[in-house]
Amino acid sequence: MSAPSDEDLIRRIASGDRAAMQGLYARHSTAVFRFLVRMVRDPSRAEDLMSDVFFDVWQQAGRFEGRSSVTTWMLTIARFKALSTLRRRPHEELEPEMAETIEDEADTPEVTLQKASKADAMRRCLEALSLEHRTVIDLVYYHELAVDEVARVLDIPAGTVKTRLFHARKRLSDLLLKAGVDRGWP
Amino acid sequence: MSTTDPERDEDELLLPWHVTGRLRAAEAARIESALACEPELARRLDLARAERDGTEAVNEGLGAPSMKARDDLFARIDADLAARERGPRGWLRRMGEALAGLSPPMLAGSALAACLLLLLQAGLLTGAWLGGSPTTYETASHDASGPSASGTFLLVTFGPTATAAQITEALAETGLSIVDGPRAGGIYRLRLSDGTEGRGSPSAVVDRLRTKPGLVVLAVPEPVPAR
Repeated sequence: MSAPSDEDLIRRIASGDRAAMQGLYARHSTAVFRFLVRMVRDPSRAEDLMSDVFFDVWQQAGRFEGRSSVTTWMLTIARFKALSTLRRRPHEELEPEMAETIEDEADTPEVTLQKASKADAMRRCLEALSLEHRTVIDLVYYHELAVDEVARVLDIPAGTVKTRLFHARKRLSDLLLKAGVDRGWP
Repeated sequence: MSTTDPERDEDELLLPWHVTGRLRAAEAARIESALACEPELARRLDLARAERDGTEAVNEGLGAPSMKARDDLFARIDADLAARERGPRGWLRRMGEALAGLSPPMLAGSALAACLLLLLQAGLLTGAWLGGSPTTYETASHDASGPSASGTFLLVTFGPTATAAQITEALAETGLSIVDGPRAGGIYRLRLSDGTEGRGSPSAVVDRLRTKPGLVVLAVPEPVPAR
């Protein structure tokens, strides 16, 4: 017997099926948690927010209309909650990207060693991106959402999604260059 | 996005989605054909793949939510479920489940019984509203159905000196019984029992009553109402 679809689980959750909720949680909790950690950069707060997201799903499953995928719906709720939390703490709201941790390391022996690992530099630069840039990068590359799905989560037009991702990738190239990795693009 | 070809620029914008396989079929086919003839685009596709691999590595390194987070969430859900059970929706749900558990014949029987109960109740209410006769007093000798309508009847006024024993004896002798009275003027309505009808006509019975001295002042057959 094939596993029930996300939509099937949501229909059962709408009728108060606890087991279906356990199934949905097992399937999506890690992805939602990681999305939130990347947004708020605090695993403890991300866990609390994740719990709120799933409780919202439990209570609002009856209102799910299927106009988007369940993943898109949950990530939309998660993003809204994360932004609400960040706005309540204005000193963290518009966090600058942590480019300085990439720069100024140019000629030290440690950096020379790190340059040998492009993959490691890529990870550090991805973590250094601004909230806006790393969010769109995560939605496309890790959560594997289509253009229109990203547009729905971020509440922006599809064209803006494409250009925002382009600028995020361009910024990533800049950071990599500063870390000693020249990608030759853009 | 540095070319003058809008389609080429669009292809470059879409490369990340080509890597994740989330393009529409037409877009994917267009990029595949462009990749086949443009080595630079193919090189940039490799850059996107490296970005995808790096993003996955960053996310994989974030771990997973704790068991405590899971337990706390389902404790909230259990509390919410308990609250729903106590509410009106819980009551309706339980009734629905009880009905759903009945077999079709039992369900049909229950529906029929409910309909009959409703009809009975409607009848009682309608009767109380429309058909209720005004309540009046009743005497012990005058039941609500009124005097008997069938049989042969006499109208009799007993004499003022007639004793109860004389009257009882005469009634037994002639097969008469008092069914109504006394009415105005001391008139009693007597019914001639079926078993004694054969012994004489009403006129004959009247004559026998009149032969007893002082027993009756008036004794006549009751006129039969016109039909």
